[in-house]
Amino acid sequence: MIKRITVAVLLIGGIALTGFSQDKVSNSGSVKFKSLVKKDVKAESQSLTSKINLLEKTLVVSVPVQGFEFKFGMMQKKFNAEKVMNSSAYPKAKFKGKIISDKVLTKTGSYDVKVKGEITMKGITKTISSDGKIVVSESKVVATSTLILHGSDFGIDLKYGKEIEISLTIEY
Amino acid sequence: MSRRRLFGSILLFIIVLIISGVFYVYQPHRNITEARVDYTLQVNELITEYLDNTTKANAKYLSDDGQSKVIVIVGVISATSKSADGRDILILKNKRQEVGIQCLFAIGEDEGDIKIGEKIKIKGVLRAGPEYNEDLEMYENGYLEKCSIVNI
Repeated sequence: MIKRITVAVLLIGGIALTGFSQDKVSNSGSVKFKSLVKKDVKAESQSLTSKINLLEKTLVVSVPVQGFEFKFGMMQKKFNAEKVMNSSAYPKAKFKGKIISDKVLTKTGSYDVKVKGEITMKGITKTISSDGKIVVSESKVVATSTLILHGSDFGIDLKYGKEIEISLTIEY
Repeated sequence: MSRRRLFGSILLFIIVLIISGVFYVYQPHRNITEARVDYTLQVNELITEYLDNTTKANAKYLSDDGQSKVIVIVGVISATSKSADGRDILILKNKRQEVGIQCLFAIGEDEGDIKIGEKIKIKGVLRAGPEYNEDLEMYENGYLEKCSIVNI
């Protein structure tokens, strides 16, 4: 009898635990950025790893810096250089934060949310917040957000890097 | 030297300077599919190098100007997916390993007729190595881009 109860408790516990583990991991998405000072300074990366949890309302994104591709090779070289992104020493740009919304995000629907968290580049971490959107359908979840970064916050002393717009689209 | 000849040489010099300047600014990207291979190695060799000493591996494989090492990697296909712009992504990972290398194909290249569990040889440029990512609370694959299949 005790054995049966133990098995039942373990089973229920197990189901409850899997129910709570709602992590979705994706490597399908794009991160685009453009300089707001000079519009044709722009680049895009199609490589990333991201984890979203709609129950806990958390979002993590990691992007390889060298994956950003500019129109011309020279811009790319300059971007990766020690003075700008120093990508050989700091190969990843990361975001870790919370999705702020009073809605239940696990249900099918389209939700306007706020995203608040920490962005880390070149080993420097800054707190940011921005608007985002989460679209939940039967088969997938799509998260989008656009945010503005200032190069000076990350020790980037470059005219075109004064104000950078970053747009993120990830499909889970 | 006559004045005309001097003027001609200066003009030629300026033209060469302008042409090389334009070429420098608008230089095209490397064609990784055609590029010289820097290293050929097994997927687990690259992973071990990164997990043992990330700083040393970054110094070996990543370049300051983003023109990082071109490698040919041999491994078993553990999963496939698609990038946001519809290109193929293959993940090479050994069964016993927790982390692998994700290979994003070059525009115009595709994975062709492949099967999960099959051994494959892929050429690409390394963008970042595999590591344990504390923010993601999991191992993050290494990133190989502009990939193409090399015949074994």
